[in-house]
Amino acid sequence: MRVYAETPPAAPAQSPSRSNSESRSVARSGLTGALVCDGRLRPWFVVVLWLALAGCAAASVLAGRYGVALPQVVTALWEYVGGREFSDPNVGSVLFGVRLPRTVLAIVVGSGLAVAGAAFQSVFSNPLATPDTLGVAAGTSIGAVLALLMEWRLLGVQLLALLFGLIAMAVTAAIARQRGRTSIVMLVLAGVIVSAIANAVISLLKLVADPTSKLPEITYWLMGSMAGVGFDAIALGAPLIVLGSFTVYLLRWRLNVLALSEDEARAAGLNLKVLRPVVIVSATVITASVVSMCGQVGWIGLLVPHCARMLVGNNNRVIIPVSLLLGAIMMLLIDTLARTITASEIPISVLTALLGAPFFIVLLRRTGGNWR
Amino acid sequence: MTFAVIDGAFRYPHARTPILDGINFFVDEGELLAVLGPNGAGKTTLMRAMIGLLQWSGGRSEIDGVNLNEMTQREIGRTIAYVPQARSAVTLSLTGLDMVTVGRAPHLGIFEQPGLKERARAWETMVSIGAGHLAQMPCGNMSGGQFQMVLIARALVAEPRILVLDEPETGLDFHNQLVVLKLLRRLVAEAKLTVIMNTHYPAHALRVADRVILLDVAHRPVSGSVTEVMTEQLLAEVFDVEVRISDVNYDDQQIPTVTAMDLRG
Repeated sequence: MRVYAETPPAAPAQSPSRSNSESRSVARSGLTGALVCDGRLRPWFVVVLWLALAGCAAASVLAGRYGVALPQVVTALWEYVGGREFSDPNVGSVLFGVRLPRTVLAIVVGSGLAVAGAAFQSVFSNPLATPDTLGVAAGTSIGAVLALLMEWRLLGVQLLALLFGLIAMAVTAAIARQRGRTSIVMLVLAGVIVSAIANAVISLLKLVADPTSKLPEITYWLMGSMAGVGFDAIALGAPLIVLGSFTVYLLRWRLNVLALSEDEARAAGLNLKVLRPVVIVSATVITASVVSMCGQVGWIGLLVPHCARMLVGNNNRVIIPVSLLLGAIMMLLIDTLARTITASEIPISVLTALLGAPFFIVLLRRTGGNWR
Repeated sequence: MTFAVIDGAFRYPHARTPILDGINFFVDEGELLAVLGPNGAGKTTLMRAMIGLLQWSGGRSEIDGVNLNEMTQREIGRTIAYVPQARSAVTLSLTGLDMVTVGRAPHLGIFEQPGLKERARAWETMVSIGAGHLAQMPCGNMSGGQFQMVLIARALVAEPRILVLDEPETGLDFHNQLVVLKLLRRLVAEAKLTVIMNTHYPAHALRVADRVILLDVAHRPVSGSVTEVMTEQLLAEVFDVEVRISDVNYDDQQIPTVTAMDLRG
């Protein structure tokens, strides 16, 4: 196969007029080159991300109305591991009843949503595909609201959310697909349509909900909140998120092949009939679990993967792990802000939108709509 | 490897008449087959059908006498490499080297990551076809010619025995067309690949092909050696133009050229 390597290489296919685009690419590969080497993340960058995650997790545990100091946390954890009584019961109950579950939830939700966004972007080779834009988030919400109305338990909420999420996904994909191809604009428009329908259905459900008890519960939950989710709920919802994220993580390099045209992917020996549904279902499972635990948390699935792209380029092999860590970091920061900047807690989706939208405008202006 | 299509026919669902019918050709290793025909004759459909991206409605494709339908997608992926038309609209694009490394997919396990060995091989392949300078450039920033070279490198890094290209030189400038054509000729002569390409340019077929299949909207397709098929009379009928074929002497070689003289009255 290497026979032709011995002959002199053909003249480079290049002309002087293209030097402009080249200088752009060099400028861009500067940052990427510092963080990625031989298609892998540089070890120091991975260490920095993990340290940042640890720092944010610590801040999330310590910050809040009830002041807790680091030594107290260490003591309480030590007592918990040793199975002894807490020397300070207040610290113990704040830590294990409120703070720690919340920190764990933020990590799982943030990393899950980021990975789901990156997976959707690859599988549809569409930079704007996320759980929100595809209508999956709104679809899962119908299921979750229905289950809430019927007073189902969390597992039921999750399954119904998943079912409606998959339906919404299927409808969006069906609307967008024309003659075997799906354009970027069509997919986003189809997502807008499906979201609109889903939100109309949710409004209808709210209308029939009991205005004194159920309606406020649904409304507040839809805005997204990590409050009041205990370890028991996390034990039920987190495994699905971890499972979905892990599946995508294992397939991370294959996502590069999946992002090519259908003909190319199949010609490369890929079984699209299996691989594509596996990735889509994984991302939908993540979204459904997140929505059923803490409502609609928008923007993370769009912003975090694009942050990752700006840092390390478009190779999914490195985007997925970076999105995992960045998603957790960002969610921890936002949740900690949400419950500390004012006396009463701000819904997460409000903060993600207020922080996310301006960032997205910057991103749009920088790329000029050319997602390369 | 010998690639052959026997009695190939293809009809799109709901279409009344088949777009392809009576397709018969073979091409040996170390040979280049050009698929030629006017717009709408089904050149791209033929490409997709013969490598299993579309299912023949009649007939079959064979590699060394084995029906393609009896091979798994993975086996086909390791034997045949497909180079699609190089479209410029690439979103979320990989760098050249990452893109070429993707070509190793048929040789890696489903959860496997390409290692340094894979990347080195991708790099060597790029250098061997003169595309080494594109390794760090995002594909989205490449010109048509540059991207085409990356796509060909991606196909070659899979170590195929058969290379199938859909209009590899369309949309490229004069220089880059020749770069691609000479590269294909080199792959046929030195690496003994079986190459099948689809082209709009009779001159290119005449220049590099050993065999030609000529598709026509109205008539049955004609296939055979380049001298049998590429005649003034046949080309005139299929493309509905007056055609002259002549040899040009260059560097002690007779290089055949074909020119369309006039529309047929």
